[in-house]
Amino acid sequence: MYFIVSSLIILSTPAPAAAGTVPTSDQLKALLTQVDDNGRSNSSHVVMSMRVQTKRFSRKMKMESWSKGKEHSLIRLMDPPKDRGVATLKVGDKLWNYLPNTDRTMRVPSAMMSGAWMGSHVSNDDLVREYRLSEDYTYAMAPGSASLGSERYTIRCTPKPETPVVWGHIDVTVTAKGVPEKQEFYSEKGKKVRTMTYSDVKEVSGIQVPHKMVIQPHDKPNELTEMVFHSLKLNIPIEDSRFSLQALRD
Amino acid sequence: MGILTAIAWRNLWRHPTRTVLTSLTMGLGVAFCIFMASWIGGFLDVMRTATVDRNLGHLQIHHKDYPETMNPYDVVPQAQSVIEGLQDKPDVKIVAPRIQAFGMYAGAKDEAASGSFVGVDPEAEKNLTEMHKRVRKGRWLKNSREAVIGHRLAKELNLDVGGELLVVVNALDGSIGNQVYPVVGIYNSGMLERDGGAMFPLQDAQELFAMGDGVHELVVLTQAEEKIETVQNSTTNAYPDLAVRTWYEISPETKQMEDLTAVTSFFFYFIIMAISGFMVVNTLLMSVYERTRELGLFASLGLPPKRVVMMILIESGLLGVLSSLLGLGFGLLGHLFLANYGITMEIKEGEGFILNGVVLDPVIFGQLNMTQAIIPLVIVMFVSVVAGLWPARRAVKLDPVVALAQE
Amino acid sequence: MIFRMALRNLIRRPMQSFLASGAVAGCLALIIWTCNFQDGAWVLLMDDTIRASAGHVVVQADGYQDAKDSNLLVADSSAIATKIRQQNPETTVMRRLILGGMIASPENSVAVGISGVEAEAEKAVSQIPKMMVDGEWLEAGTSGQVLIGTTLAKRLQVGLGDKVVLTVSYRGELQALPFRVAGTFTIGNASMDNFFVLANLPTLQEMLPGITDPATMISVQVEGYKVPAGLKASVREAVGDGPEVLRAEEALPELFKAEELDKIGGYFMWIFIGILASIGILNVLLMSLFQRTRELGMLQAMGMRPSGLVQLLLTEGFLLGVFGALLGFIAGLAATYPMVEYGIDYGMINNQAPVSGVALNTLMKAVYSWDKMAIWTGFHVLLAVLASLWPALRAGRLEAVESMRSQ
Repeated sequence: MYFIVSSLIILSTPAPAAAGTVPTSDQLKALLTQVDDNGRSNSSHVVMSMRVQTKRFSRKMKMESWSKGKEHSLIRLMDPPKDRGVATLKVGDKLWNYLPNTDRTMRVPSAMMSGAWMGSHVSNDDLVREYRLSEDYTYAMAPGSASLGSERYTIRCTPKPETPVVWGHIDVTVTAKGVPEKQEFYSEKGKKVRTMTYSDVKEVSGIQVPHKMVIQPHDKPNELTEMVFHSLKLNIPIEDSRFSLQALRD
Repeated sequence: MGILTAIAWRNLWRHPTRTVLTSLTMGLGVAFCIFMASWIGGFLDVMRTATVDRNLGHLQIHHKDYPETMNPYDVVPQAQSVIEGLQDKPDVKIVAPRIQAFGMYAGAKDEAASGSFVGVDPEAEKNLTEMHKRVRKGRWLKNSREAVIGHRLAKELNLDVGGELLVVVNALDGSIGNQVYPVVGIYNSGMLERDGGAMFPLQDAQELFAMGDGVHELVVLTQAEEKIETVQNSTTNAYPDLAVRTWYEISPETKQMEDLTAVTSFFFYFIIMAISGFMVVNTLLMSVYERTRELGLFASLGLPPKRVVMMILIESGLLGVLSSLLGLGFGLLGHLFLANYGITMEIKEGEGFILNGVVLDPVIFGQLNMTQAIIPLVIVMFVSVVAGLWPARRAVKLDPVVALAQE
Repeated sequence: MIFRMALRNLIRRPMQSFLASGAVAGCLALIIWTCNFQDGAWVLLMDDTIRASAGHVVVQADGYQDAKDSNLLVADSSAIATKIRQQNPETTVMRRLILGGMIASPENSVAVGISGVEAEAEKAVSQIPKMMVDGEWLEAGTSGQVLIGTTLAKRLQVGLGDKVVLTVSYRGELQALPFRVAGTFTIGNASMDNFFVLANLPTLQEMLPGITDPATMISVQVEGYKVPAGLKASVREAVGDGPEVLRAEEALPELFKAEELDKIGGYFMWIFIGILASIGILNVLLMSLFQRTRELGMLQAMGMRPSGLVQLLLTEGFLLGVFGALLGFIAGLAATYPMVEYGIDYGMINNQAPVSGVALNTLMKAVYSWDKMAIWTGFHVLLAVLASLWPALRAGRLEAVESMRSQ
């Protein structure tokens, strides 16, 4: 899933904001473009684990994912054994599931797009929908950003009127080098709805990439979805044919 | 009294045509009311069958949050012990567990449809809702690892008995539950929502949803309609954490429809009775006018006014009895016809009216309880006696001299 | 001569004449009132449903009627609508776009059915403007407004002015746009309040890729609820080949079938009430005429020919009938008037409309069904004449001496 991977991978190019100064609008845009754009035109392969903690269940999965550009991604479960081989393919805004124990693929019907993906706090719809902070939002320094010191900024991104997202605004905390630390999603009434926290930054192919992300819904305080990268390869050649229904079965 | 009755009876038959016609008018009125009651009873029965007997049962038990949230995680806690507790109650006839959820379905192609997912105990459901009689092709669930699908889903997926149904659900442990089941039957439950989905044996459903032995819904059929609230109260007391609701709390629309129908039928009773009452007043008034002289004679002979009133009231009462008997006869005939042959109200082939997403049976057979047959009789007796009051009063007020001087 | 004699006879015995014509009048008034009321209820239901869910003539993509597939859309809808308007300047033409999709708030997302409507035109025909709980009906020309049911609002935890994202699915593609809740409504039907979303047509149209100015239906509506005979052909001519053009009866066969069945039931009832009334009237007239056997014998003895007697009595019956019918007609109209002006809100009895799928008005009003009133009035005059036929013929056969002897 592009969403997951792109949220984590940050290009290593240092942001054009000098530490200790208040960044200009152009500099903010550059920072956000980095948050948006990580490897967008590139490809990735990642092995990761996902832990979902809800009031109802707790579940740990290991998965492998390939992505190429914005349009294509494929993710396949490796563990638990019961779900081994279950795969989700995204091409554009369409989703297919592959179900190994029945050896069948099934396009997710639009009525089910609002459902949770693999039980996590990410919906099927979140997977296929992607908006660019740098283009679909307006941005400014968030109030209180200055108190963070000179090493990081909190940028308040407000969706443009025509952007079809439910949020009132998103506060993105990013280091001066452009590595994201936190995204907080607010409703229009100013209620914090969910937080994504990034940590465990490692360098991959010369890029600073957080290897851990936690999604926390605020109306359910004891719930979270946590993703940890175990291995990450960027800018590797991947055939388009990998993102096909045929390949989904492999 | 005996003499008065004899006179009244003789008076009635002085003009047989009139008496017959009057009692025929009222009698037909009564007959029509009985027939209407039978028809409405039949219609309500069809409606009741479609909603209560085929789906809701008498009582439903859920997790206390389920009615509001419909959240698949809100299962009935300790369902097994609740079931056993209920089954021990003498007023309870059947307890059937159900799993209610949504699933994604596919036939031979990748394109999927979403629809209702119902897991049932095939035997209990058979006894409770007689779902096996709604299977239009193939058979009802018998073994594990098989599915019956609704006719609308069958059409959408182009799937037939003998085909394979892929079902994919969001299991409660966060995994994607998926399975392929052979389709053993296609049903037409008459419920639009259910006909767009599929039904599975309970254990398979629990396995697919990874929900252990959890169930969402317990459907209870009591021994009799009157026992519903008794069972509801005792169950609520025993399990205060559960939502225990009667069918009319779950589907107030059905109840309201019944009330609306009752109001409408009252309205028609009223009209029929108004016409009949009018006729009786007319007949008796006429007869008083006609007998002005005779009544004057009675009065001049010293018959106390009270007895004159009595006589006329007895006359009208007898007319009422006659009408009632006629009406009961005709009405029961009409009811028997309706009960045996029924009237077809077909909107589509094999389907009747659709109310709240439930398709009613097309043929309506008469249903009558004795109260409904007796009410119009009572009304007609009442109307005829009351209608006799005015002419009776008139007769009493007659001045014998003037009356005798008439023609 | 005979006429004046008949009139004098009637005036001479005012009470009897009044009772006889009163019987005619009473029956007629009741029948007229009920007829107008029943017709009113159906006219309202039909009118509401035809206008809100189809049109007197409706243009849809070929095959939509059978498949009800939301991917089947008519392109360039406003061009077609304009052509229809030019061809039929007396009609109102409005377009609707009906899609499946999803509505999301920060808190939740729910699968819904979305209707894109032309705000002004739809306001005139939809019941929802009357069911608004909060906010206002859609405003033409304001984009991004959405109206949702109160239940849905609760599930999404949104209120007036809050942002929601609508995602529609068209030919497998998903398109999303932000909207603001401009109002909430309560239809009273749980599933509709949870599922039904309204938005301005142009905004929704923009969401669909690869088709210009799409609509699910182009609804052509006229005054009244009867579909003019030539309208379909004329619309077909304006539309040209391609899309399907249906009359209301073809677009809503189930509604019309239901109406037909109800009407048959209604006819059955009217015939019955008619019989009841006839017998009653016959009865009263027979009585008033039999009473006069002696008088008639006298007339005969005085040299009046039997045919003259027959004529006299028939004239009397006719006069009674006309007088009674006139009285009944006026009384019926008077009773109908408040029902036409104010109606009965059966919402008072029954909080929600018992028919699924359409937001119904709960205010039932009567209409003046002039044709039925005329038929029934004529029928009652005829009835009076027929009822006097029997005694008249009898009188014609009477031997003068015999009749003189009676009474």
